[in-house]
Amino acid sequence: MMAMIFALLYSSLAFSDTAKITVKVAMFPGGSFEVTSNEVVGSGLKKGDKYSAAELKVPVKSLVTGIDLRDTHMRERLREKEFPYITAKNIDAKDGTGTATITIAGVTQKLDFKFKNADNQTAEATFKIKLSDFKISEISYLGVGIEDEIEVIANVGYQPG
Amino acid sequence: MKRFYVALLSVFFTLPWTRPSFGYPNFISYGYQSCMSCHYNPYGNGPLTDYGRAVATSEISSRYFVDEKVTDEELAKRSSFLGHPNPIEWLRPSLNYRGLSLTSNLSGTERSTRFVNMDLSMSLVAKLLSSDSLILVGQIAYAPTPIALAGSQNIKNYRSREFYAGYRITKNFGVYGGLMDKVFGIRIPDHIAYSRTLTGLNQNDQTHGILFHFVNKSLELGIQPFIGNLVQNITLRQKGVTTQVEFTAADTTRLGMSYLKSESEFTAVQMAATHLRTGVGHANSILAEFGRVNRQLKTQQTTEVNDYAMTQSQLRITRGAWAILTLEGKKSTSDPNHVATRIAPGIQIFPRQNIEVRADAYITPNSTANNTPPQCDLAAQLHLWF
Repeated sequence: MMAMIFALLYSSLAFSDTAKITVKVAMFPGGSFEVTSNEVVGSGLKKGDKYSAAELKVPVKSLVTGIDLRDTHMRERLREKEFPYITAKNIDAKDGTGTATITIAGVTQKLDFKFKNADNQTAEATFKIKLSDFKISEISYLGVGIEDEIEVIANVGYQPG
Repeated sequence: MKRFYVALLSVFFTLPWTRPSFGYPNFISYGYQSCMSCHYNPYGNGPLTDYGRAVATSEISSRYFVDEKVTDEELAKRSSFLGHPNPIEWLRPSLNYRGLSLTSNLSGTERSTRFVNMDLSMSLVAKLLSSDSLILVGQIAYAPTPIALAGSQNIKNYRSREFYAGYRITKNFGVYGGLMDKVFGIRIPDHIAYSRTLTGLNQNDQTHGILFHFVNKSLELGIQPFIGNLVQNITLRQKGVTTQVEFTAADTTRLGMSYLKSESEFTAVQMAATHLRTGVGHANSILAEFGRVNRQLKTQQTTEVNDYAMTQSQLRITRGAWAILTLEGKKSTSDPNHVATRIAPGIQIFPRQNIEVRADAYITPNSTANNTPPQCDLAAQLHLWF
């Protein structure tokens, strides 16, 4: 029994250590930055060669860009007070590709992603989204803006089924 | 622990060549690969854009003297000229001052200290179209008389270092024409760096010309044909072309190359350099530049060929404060004994908006170039901008 509890504790710690979201954002004119979060709520399940997850959530307040004021602006544009989480639901994946529905700032879109195993307990999914599809557009501060298309790299823990 | 690794990495980068200098290209560590985000001049230097002013006050400068209730957003709003909203929406005035206290030959018998007003300049930027797509930039500056020319009569202490128009035809491509700095290498603000003295790209070495500038996510390219500074005597004007290309190797890493060729009645110059700018962790960075300068003195029928190397690491201590280590060296290829190295640890502090304080030690362990013994100079610099 104790061994089982330790095993569960260990596995949950491993998931929280490896879960990470990285968003690559290109700025104009010239430059880029990464939005990161180490807080991913939920994990996936592996059955045979299929991976699935009912829901994964990332708290908007956990997203950071490396500049405090930029963090503030980002959270405002993501309407953190109304929508404190970015969510991905109905995640199904097999043979390196998958689908999910993602909700950002209250707008839901279905998307396709590619994935690979980062290690025995973590899958790394990558996909691109257009912010304008989520009704987030014309992001600019004093003449410096960001490109509409962003790349997301999500490392998510999973449990073998 | 991360800082330790950054320091270790910077030492690793610099020691094998035992050479290199410092500056603001370091802010690539924040993801600002191009200088264009913060400066009207796409290669930096000169007046800051509204965004550059906001970043300087809300991220680069310390909050030590700021009331906790004042947000970074409010600080950014106060970053305009003299802290007031711009009375004319399309005009951006600015003032800049740099003063230097230099103690030379600290350990020698002929120690001396002097204070130099390096720069007092006023700039005016006219933003004639939206998104800064058409700008006019003008500057008038006081420049001190160089010590070597102290007795000369015809030294002009007032000059313009920037007087140009810029038009962004597209978001990625722009053309600039007028008096500007030459595009070459990493534009660090250290006037005595070998990468600036050997190349002749210093505080007062601007030229009239046209700059074609392209930038996108993976590439930044500048091509600048030039005809010399029209204020100079026509026989002294260096005419030629310079170009620089930088590739984005990673989010905060740029690799670049520069090439310049120019000629006047007295001098023919060819030089090339390769450079690296990379961010390491949060707000730490490493710069490196390696170059060769071939300078032919026509009247003496001699040619000097010098290699130089410089690296500079910048380590963030806290918001508003950085430790800087600059290592540089130069070597004459025609005279292998003509070698100089310099180690320059320093500290750079932005105690509040509009103020930069800097202290550097310049340690020259050996300099067969000037046949001088080991030397240590101390420099304290005050930089104000409004």
